[in-house]
Amino acid sequence: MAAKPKRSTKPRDAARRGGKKKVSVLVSERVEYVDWKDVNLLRRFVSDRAKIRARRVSGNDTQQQREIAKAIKNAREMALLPYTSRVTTQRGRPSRDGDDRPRRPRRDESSEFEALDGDGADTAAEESTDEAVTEAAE
Amino acid sequence: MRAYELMVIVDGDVDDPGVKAVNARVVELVEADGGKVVTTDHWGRRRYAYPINHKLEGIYVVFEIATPASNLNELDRFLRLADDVVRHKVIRLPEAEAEKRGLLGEPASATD
Repeated sequence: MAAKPKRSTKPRDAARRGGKKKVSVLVSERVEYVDWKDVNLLRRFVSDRAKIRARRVSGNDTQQQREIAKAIKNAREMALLPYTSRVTTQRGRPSRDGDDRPRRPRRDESSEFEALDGDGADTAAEESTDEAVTEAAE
Repeated sequence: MRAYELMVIVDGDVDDPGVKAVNARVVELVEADGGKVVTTDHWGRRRYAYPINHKLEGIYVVFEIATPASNLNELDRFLRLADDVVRHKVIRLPEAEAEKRGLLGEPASATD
């Protein structure tokens, strides 16, 4: 978790606002049949606790998510994928899942949000200058 | 005729002839009523994602099968009863996928 870039820990709505829609691995790699034997593919749709990633995280549409879930469950029955996988946490209370998005931001992350606000201001400034340029052109 | 995929996990303690015996029986059962085993993929020893019967690895074999559904009951029954078989799974392949892999020959679809 700590190794992940900071960007992924920002709140969901901030991540969405103005951002591009998340594209599933299935789309970007043109998978037409989700093979339940393809462990390497399926592994990318489970968290490090071996839980199936939510649709909003994986970027799947409804059909894709259903196929992935079915495939993962089949693979689990055949011991290709684990049902659970323990994640050792050293300090504090363990989070509910070892996933990369905490439900509530912790206090020590507040500085990051300020940085984010700064980002927003920057883009706003850029937009206004763009406008100025177009006006000048006209 | 329909296309299926069968995965069998043979107990890790079983020796090579034992695995061959299971494979042979599978082929025999599939061919009983006009089916056929198109490919046999021997994955070999593989570590389980979690222990099964206190064991850590098993021998995986994957078959691609084209058979009428009438064969499946007997096949399933055998696999469930066989002591050497730890787990097995039969998956019906979608038509498109079966066609891509060429599991259903043209003459077979004519008799369907």
